[in-house]
Amino acid sequence: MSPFRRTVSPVLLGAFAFFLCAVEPSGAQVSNPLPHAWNEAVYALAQKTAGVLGPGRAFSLEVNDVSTGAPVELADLRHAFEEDMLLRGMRPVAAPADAPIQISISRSLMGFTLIAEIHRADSQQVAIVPVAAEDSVPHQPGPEPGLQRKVVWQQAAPLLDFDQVPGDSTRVFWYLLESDHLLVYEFDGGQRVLEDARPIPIRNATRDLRGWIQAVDATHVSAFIGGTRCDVTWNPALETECRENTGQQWPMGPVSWTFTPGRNHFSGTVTFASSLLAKFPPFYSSASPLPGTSGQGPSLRVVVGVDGRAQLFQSGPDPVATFDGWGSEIVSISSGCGNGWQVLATGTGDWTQKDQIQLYELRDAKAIAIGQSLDLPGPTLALWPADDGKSARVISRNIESGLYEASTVSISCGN
Amino acid sequence: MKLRLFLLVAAISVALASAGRVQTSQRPRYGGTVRAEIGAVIHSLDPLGTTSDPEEAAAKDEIGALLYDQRSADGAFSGVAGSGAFHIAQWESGKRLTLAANENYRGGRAFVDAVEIEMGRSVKDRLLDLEVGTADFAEIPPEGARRAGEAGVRVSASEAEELVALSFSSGHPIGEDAHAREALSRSIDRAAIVNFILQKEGEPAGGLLPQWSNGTAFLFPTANDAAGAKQLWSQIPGSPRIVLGYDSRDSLEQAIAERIALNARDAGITLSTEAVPAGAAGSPEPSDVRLIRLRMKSARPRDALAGFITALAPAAGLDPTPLPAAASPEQIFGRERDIVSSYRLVPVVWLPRVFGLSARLRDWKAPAAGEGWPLADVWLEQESQ
Repeated sequence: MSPFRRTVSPVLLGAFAFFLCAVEPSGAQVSNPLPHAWNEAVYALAQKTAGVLGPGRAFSLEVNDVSTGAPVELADLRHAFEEDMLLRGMRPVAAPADAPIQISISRSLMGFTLIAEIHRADSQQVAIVPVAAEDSVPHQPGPEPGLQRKVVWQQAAPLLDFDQVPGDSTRVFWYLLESDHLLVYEFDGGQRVLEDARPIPIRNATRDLRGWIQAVDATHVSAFIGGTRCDVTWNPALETECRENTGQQWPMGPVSWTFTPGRNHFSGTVTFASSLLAKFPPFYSSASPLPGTSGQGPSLRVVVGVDGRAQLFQSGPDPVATFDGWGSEIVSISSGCGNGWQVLATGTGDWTQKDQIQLYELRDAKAIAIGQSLDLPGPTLALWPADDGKSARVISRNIESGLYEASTVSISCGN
Repeated sequence: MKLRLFLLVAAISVALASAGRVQTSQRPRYGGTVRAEIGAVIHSLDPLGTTSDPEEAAAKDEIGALLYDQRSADGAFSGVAGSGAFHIAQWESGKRLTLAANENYRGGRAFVDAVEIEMGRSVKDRLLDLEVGTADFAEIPPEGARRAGEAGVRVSASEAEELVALSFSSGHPIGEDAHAREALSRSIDRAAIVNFILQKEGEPAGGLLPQWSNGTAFLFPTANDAAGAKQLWSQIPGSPRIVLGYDSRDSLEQAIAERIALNARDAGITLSTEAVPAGAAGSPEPSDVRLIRLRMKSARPRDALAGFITALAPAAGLDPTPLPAAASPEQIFGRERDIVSSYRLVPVVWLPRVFGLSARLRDWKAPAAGEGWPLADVWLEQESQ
């Protein structure tokens, strides 16, 4: 079975939107303001109802909403149903009619449902049509200064990381890392021209699998998944070579972190290019000043330990500061605004809650929150630096839709 | 529901209690032991062993789901104990059980190292231990949710998934009279049971599937109709009397049965209640109608309804024909309507599962219908140092 037959439901938005033609609703669509899935459901309901009534009958109609907030106007739904029934030779009339029909918008395990109670002289019949779930269009933050999030991908399957790597002037490559597959999409001029997927053998399965994609160039990436490392080539067939990650080193810029297999954190050992080792408490994530950050020595490092504390270390084994209210994911970022060391940090809470991302500037062993925090529609599952160092890649899960969302978070210097 | 208010109160209490403590991060942390308390007394963990105590059977099933990786088609656990997320580390029959995380579980090792389960704890003791922080997890009865919230316990409720219903016994004359069955159904003030006995933690039930599952529950009326009941009852010749049985160990069933008796009397129906002792299962049903509690085996409407039919068809005289595997929404609704309109099974109220939790238990999600305790998915916040 092709891996693409699974429940992958990609929605390309935001940063990716420029590859796609912007499609505005046509005049014909505007005349019926119901979303497509609702139109389809109304059509199916009218078909079932007409089948129950028989030809040429007059009906009266009542529409109500017993769900908790259907995203459509009752008048629009009524109008669509009546129009459809007219086309089938039925006549809408004011009550009393041959057949009073009551349509209710209900909600079930599967989502919204249209239910028609068709009252006839001798019986009452019920027709039920589920409204197909549509990919929700995520909220696009406005142009306000501060943190900006662009959702670039959504899918039902759990996502660990993603990366977008430009090839040449027209081609771009998307790599998606799932818990058991690596997928690649090649776009040329905005059109998806190729796609492929390869399974990833899981070693040391965990309930909170960590994964990270490191792009070497457009057609060569490395994927780190728990204790496994996969080197991937796209030429254009996807070739993967996966093996146990010897030494459990995850290269993170000028240093590498040592992963703890079977767990969801790093051991605390950070290896520098000079092979020197620094030992910190076991951590979920860590950040240090990016090259060129003025006034900040390379020995500075914040780690978010498995005890939940974000601690700042400076050339010694003991922390010089502890920051409250930081979540488990942090990343250094070069915003171009100001000249200090800036860190994005997720919020506290757990994976049943919505999250926030906040920008901090670290000065004199203090973390100063900059601007408003960015609200996410669910928990942040991964936060990694983007290849340009100016933005961050975020994987989160939308609590409302249940979809996994890949997004980029960047900073505008408005204020 | 008012529980929301109490959840808020509980959340505020938790926030106050945790003031000054280090807030932990979002990502799950490994380690620690969950202290769980249950009311049931489990005498054997043998998956083939049976028990007549429904509380013990339910608790055993929950623990089995933590110990075994797989179930067979009939729902029995299969494979080796310990193939699941946990294995048995210590077992004292009828007293306590310690489960340790299975390091090689194919679904990934549980975040906590162990779960200590203390058995035979009364509701009062469970609530007290939750209040003082010596327990992390305990199921509490729905009718106790309000008091638990008021006492500052962190409370979590699932969707309504347990049906309390009246099941008329086959072979009893009054149970064969459709007017009598309908009269009793119409007489019941379901809203009052929810409001006063369940303290608003539950929903009136008119159908066999809750609204969240199939979306059709609103099509079944739940309002009481004493006048209609009286009229129907008056059409029954003689002076029949209905005996309503309930589980003698179940105080909630007793309270609901007594309330139904009150409603019945208001409609002119002669009804008495009778406590049915444990172990009566299998012997001839002494009551004309029995109050029963049925938990949905699945969130999926077709599977949930099929489970109810399988469980009840023989005793209640329902049509045992299995639902098609790919039953349409209309087929599911039609079957549900047929059963409800026969009044052989009279839905009364829906109950959620209610859990009391410690403040340090994280990533908790109340289990959906058919799911077990999610103790492999939770993690524990580290105490401040």
